[in-house]
Amino acid sequence: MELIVDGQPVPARPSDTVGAALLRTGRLHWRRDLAGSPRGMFCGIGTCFDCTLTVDGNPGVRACLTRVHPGMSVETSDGSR
Amino acid sequence: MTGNSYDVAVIGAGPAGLSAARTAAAAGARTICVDRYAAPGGQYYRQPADGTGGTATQRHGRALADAAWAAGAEYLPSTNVWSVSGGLRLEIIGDGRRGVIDCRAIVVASGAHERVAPFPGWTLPGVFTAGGLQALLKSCDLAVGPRVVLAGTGPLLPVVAASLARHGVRVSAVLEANRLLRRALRRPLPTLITLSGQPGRLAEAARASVSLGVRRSRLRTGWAVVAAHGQAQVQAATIARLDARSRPIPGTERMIECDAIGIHFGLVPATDLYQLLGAALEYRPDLGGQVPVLSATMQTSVPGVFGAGDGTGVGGAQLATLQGEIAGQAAAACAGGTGFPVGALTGRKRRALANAARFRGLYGELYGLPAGLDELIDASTLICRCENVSRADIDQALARGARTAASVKSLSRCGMGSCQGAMCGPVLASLVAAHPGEGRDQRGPLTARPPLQPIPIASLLGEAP
Amino acid sequence: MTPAASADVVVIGGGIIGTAASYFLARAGLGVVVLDRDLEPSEASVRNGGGIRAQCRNRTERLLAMRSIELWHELAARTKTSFEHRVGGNLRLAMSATALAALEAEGQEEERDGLRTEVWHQAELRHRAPYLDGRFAGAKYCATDGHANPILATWMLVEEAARAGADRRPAAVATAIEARGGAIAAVHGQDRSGDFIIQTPVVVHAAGPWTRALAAEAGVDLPIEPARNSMFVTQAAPPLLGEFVSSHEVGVYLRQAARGHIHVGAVHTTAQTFDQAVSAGELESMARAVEILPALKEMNVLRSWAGTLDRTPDHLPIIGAAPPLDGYFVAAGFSGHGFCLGPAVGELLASLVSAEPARVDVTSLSPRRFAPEVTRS
Repeated sequence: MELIVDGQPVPARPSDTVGAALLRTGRLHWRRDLAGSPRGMFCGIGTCFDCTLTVDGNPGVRACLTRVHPGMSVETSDGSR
Repeated sequence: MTGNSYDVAVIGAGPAGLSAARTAAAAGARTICVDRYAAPGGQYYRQPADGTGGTATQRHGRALADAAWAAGAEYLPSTNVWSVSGGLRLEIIGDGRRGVIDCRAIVVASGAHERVAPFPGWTLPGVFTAGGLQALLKSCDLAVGPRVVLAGTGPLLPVVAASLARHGVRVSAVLEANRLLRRALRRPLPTLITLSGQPGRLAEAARASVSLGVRRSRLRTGWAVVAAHGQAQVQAATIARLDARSRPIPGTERMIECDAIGIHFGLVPATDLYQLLGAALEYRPDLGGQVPVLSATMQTSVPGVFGAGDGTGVGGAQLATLQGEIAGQAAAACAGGTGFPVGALTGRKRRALANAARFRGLYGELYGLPAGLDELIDASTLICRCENVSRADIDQALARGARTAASVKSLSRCGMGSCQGAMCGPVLASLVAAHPGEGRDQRGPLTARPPLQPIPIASLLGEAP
Repeated sequence: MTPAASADVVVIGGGIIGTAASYFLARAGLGVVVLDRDLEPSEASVRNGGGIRAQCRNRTERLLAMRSIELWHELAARTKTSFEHRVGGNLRLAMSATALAALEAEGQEEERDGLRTEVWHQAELRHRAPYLDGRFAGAKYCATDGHANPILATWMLVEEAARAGADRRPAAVATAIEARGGAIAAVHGQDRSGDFIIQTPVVVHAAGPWTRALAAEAGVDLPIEPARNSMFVTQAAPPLLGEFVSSHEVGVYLRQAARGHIHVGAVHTTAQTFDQAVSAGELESMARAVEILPALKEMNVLRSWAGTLDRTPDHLPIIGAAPPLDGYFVAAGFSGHGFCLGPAVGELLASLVSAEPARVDVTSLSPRRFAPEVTRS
């Protein structure tokens, strides 16, 4: 299936999390921290909140916990922490 | 907003939670198992992507879950408990919608999370926890690579390394900070006795080591990653040999090119639910940190509140399963208004508990947190990932006279971010305790307050987001 | 080195009020000991909404607040420590035309005291504060008001007081106030080393909701009740507003802190208790803040906390000497206004203790207003 990430289609498997789908494309980071440094996934199990992005309009969603669905809209660099 | 009444609510669906749900339901209690994840198994029994096949361990986990549902326990996945109040009412949120669960007894089985040990460059994309790499492998069939370095301390390291290697990843190095053989030989007889009671674990570790050896990714003991390097992501790691006090030996550093680093420094029990429920905690470094005070039948200091699994002290899946079985029975009895005395435990169970507890002791001796690694944390290294609080910021708070983790948090903002101190809490406590001065904190956890997870304001209004 | 067994003044309570008092007393050259039962500032002084405002107050409080704001600026200039003081203005919202008219009348009184405020009707409010929901008839705005980080501000004052020579004793609980012949003689207490007695002719009692019990033992009745006041904080958001906004009709106030987190607090306190656990119901009430700031609907609550207010029947502080006990001064019952008023009240207490003319006449806030004779024989 496909996700729309920052307006671009990104392939994903049905059992992927958003984080896995992004990592599978070789993308390791999708957020900026308070110093503007890139961040991606760290703990992978929903406790560190490094991997957050906006899913279907909801900010601060953990990419490592969120299963994909077809046509899911994802925005990165949303500034929420 | 949905509301529901149960006899027993189990929080967590790992080995402890599933076992508790099974025995509570089998004892006749109306039981629900609330799980933050989308499928049962927790970390240890994390299921394959499509829910079928997998390793023997994963199949065993599915069987455990099936047994719990067959006994009559209900399963509520993708749901977080964000608060608990007196009279045992759980405030839950799933899919942006709020609900409450009222119950007569609770089994807290929400496990532990990875302990972090910061080093320069640890916040670079490409640095993961080893558990996180394992979760990606198990749940999404995704192997991060192509060149990975694993470092830290714990039996999880060779296990994750072997899994990665099986998926075609080049594991450039597996660095165990503790000199295991040396530590094991400190007390050889007790070590042998304990290990002889754990044939399963020995076999697993042996399999992992052989697997690694075959792929020429040798496990090195007494080594660590001391820095990660890269522009926007990890490109290399500096590794070094450690001295007897776990400090890097100057002159032994070398740089390894890599694309990802997996770190693991043991587990820290999650205590936030126990705190909200008012359960007494005690500091047990041998068990991973703050743990609830428990009776022999898994009851906390609060009537009706029970605990089981790694959240009560890191001890592995076998112990978690045993504890869960007991906690479920005790919780069901409590909900039914009857007692559950220690005498109700069978001799077999008591022996199994003792065995597992001995192994837990050995684990603590072999894989204790290497204290010298604190010296890796230079002034600019971040301690708090969420709020970008560095070692220097914490030192400044200490210099201003802050003497507890709470006040260092207040002044430096360490622990004020989204993870609410889950990552930085233990490191902060360690730095505060190491500071000379009166009134040193006793490594108490940062105070847990609702919401335990960030919750949408819209959900408080009763609207779907 | 053993701690001093005597002092010119003993201040019971090391929150913002007691600390401010000790700062000014020390600067006046007096030997002052501050007893705080906690290791570090832990109570209402570091658990409040952070508002620093002079508008929308009882007159005496207004004058104290105006002086406080001057002092906050002086302290900021003198120390190099930031306490995130932002002078972004205070916005008091009015839902109805009647409420707006009342604010207008208040504005005229404020003008007479030299406090400049403006009343914005609906169209102007929409223009000046576009982030607000459109339901309000208008608002009163005070440009010289603002907000700060109460933790950093209190710690700064603790450090300044120490620099001025105040002797702060943490983890020291006052257990009794001793009087002889109708005058203060000593304070008894307990700290980590054991029991202690400090001989002193003057006590400044500024222990928030813990003032009442100890005062009662000394024969002074103070109608102070504990009350829980709760707040929550959102995850960090892009800059939206600089004002400290409140609506008594909706029942919440809010501000955006230095890193972007929005702090939302309840205007009305809930339970009369020392218990600081925040309930789901309180969070639901505070979520009504979306009626003020619609953008909150897209945000998450990150954490919550509560503080314990010291509330009086008229929600005004009790400040002044408590005769006939000579040398006993009370400064408690601030009912949620203590943080802002702290510096000016500290300055005032120093004047009272030194029997010098006070900048602000606080006779109306005297303990005697609740009963002609507050002390029992």
